[in-house]
Amino acid sequence: MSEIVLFKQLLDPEVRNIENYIKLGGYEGLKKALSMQPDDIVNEVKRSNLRGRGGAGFPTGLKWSFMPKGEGQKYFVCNADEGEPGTFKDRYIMSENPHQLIEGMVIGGYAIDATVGYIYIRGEFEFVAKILQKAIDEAYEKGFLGKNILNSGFDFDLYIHLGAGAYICGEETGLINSLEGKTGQPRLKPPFPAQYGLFGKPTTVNNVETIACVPDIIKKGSDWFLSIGPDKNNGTKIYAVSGHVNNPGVFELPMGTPLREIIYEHAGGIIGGKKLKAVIPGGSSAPVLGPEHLDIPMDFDSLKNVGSMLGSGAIIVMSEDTCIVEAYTRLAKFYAHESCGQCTPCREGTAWLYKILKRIEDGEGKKGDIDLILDICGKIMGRTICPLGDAAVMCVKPAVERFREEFEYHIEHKKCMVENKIPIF
Amino acid sequence: MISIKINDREYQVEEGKTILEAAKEIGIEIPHYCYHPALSIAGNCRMCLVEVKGMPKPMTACSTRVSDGMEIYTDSELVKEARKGVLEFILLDHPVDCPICDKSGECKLQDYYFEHSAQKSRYEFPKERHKVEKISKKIYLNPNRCVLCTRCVRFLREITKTNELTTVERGSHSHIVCVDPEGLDNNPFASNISDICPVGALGLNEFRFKKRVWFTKKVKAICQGCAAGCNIYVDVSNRKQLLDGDDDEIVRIHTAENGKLGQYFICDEGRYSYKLYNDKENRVKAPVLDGEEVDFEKAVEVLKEKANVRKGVVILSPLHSIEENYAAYLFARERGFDVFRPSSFRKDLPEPALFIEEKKSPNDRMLKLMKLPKVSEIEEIDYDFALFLHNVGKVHSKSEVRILSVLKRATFSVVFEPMLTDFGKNANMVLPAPIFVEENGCYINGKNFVQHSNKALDYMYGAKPIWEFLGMDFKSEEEVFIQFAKEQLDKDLNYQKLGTEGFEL
Repeated sequence: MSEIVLFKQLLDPEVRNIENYIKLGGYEGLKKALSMQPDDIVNEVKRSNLRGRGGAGFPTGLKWSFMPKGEGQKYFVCNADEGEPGTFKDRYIMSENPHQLIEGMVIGGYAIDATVGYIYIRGEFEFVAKILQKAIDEAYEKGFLGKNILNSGFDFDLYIHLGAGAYICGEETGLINSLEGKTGQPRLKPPFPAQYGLFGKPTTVNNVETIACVPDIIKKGSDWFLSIGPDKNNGTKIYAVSGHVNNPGVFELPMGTPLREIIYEHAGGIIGGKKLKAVIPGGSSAPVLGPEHLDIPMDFDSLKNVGSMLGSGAIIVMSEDTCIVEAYTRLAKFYAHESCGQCTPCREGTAWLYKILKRIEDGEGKKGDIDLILDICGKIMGRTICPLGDAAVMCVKPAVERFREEFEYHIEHKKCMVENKIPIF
Repeated sequence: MISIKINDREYQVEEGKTILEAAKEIGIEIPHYCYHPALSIAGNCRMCLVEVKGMPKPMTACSTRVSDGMEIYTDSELVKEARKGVLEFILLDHPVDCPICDKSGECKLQDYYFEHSAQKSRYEFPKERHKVEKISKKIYLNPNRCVLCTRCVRFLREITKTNELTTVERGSHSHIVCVDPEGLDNNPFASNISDICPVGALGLNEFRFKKRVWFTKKVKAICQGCAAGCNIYVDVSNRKQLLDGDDDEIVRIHTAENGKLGQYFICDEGRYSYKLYNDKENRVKAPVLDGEEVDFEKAVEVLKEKANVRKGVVILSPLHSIEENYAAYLFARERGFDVFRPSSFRKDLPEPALFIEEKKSPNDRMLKLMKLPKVSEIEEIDYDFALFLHNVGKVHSKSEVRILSVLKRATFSVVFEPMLTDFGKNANMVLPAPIFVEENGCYINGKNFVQHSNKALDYMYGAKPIWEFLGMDFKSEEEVFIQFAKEQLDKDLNYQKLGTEGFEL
């Protein structure tokens, strides 16, 4: 069995209880961290090559180093607004191994000199929030949270905030606005959160999986973390596999595990032994790949090289029975529905894209619709306040380009070219 | 100063400015909807996207600050294509009802469409529809025409801090709603949102279907409502282009920005004050001598004779321009007459007052600067000749009583006013004064800004400047002003030097 960094529930199913977590070496990273200088923690995380697991893959240590030094309130925020279609990894960390996230939050807070932390969790995860709250209460009781943690003189308070159901609040500045009680609409950048974040104070926002990696990096050292996965893409990754596979689920594997291994070994292969038609490697916003990409190592850089991205590591498998038009109409609807409505290209463009796709799917597509879609994509990409517009384009455009024939068939024959199609979303 | 290049030409600009502001100063217009100099940067319309060398994607000119050596393109293919894209997106759900929209002719969507797009829409779906509603007695909201720039929302959030409007729903369903159950009726600045709305989404009920803007003449003037001296545009119906035979009148008053004064808005009281000036019923339509209308020549002759006395008084007015006041002052000085000034009418300030001033007259500061004695200092004497300059508006009630008693007790009293008031009714002679838009005039506001108000209409109903009645030899308003500036301010000033933003003393 490969190294387990995050899914400690595989070692002890009751690890969500603090006693069990401590028995597995929990909170030792925190003890070690509190004996270190904050800058040394930042440097250790930098050396470990830990990259943001939320989607962008930005080096975590570098992000922490952007926080200004000196007096004044700072905040450490955990982005648990897991909403990317196909992604369901963070919830299992929070519901099964919550203390590792809490420990990571305290270490991160200490490293960036923040005394208050927030876990912004999506509203639908209310049951997860309850588990997490119980774990936070336990941590307070044991002195891992609150004033003067483990007699170090460091104070850290941790709060859970439930979102109200918006994908856009997973964007860090949208999340910050929502946390402040405002409409969840992203802010213009610059200024970045490290300069002007929550309540106008320096703030760092990290994904759940990212933060949960931190305790073991501190406890076991960055060299240990570097020994897992390929260069610059170190550590393990939780891959959430869904779609037409026999054994969908979440799998913690070393970064860089080949796509073929994940789909055919861990996820049990495709239902009914069907052929693979398409696979989204990193959540719906990641450009779609085909069977020729099966041997690609699932890490940030390898996927970037083939024009896609690792994103959140959510793998959506589509068999030959999938109607791509139907699948992408559904995804386009998601982006149109979730666009915050703030800036023009995303607000109008995502809705227009969906309407055209819907028309094609309904057999009412017109000649020229495909070129129109591609043209609209070009007018959204890179022209919006936040990456949601880009995400919609990266979702729709590669699919239309790759499966252009299928879209054309829909327009011309007013029906699907796939017989006995199996829905995907 | 730093050096930047715009469209391959080098310019020196001030550091810290945004690309949009720097370009504007140079004279390069970058199209925009959401940017407004007095409001926070929203960056949401994406109309101001420009190309910056070295940047992977187009940047918003409204939020990107210039840096030394920056190379900006405002007319590259990428920029043109981006503008076209944004305009097509904005127009998707827009009703394109320009023929019945009052913004037509001064609408940024219309202007930019013809300038930057002019292409047929490729959108073939039903348009999103919302109800048009009155959000106050004065203002209507048509969300269908809205481009969601949120200028109105930010104005009510940041300037008046009253938050009546907000955006609701998401994506293409987003629209502006009024969330205050009482609407905007209690907001004394609310009507500004119709000025700052770049399209026809917010309009004034009073102006609705009233006049096409191209049948009006827009003239920059100074608001007469208080000592703030707000810059306004006075739109007058343009007789030469009139199709419906209206007489000359003011159609509306709206904001003219003055960055130097830091004034970007006006109050509703000032905005709707135009009705006072359109009051034709009460206009003094000819010189009136002892209840009888007389012609101009007769009036001049009588005045010349009656003013040939030793004990005379001239009472100036904080409601009149420098020119009218100073001509009357010079008349008094020549004859050795006393000169007094009334106190301004005062009104309690609303909460928040923002820029409104307590003194309800545009030129109080001029008379104060001249150190003229107040009318309360007039001793109990009977003058042989008394002249009082009055205008639309009021003076302080104590001054009013005092002036009336002076007029009544004088052997011969003259009142120079545009609308007949108690003053005129108690005088031997009434002279038809012009209203402020009928002449060039300067005013000194509470912050010591000398500002020029332009002539928009010809003199009506026999109105003439005071110096013509008094037989003084001035060729123009400006001549009086130049003399005033030299003698009273010790400054070499003229209208050109005042410019559009005024001169700070």
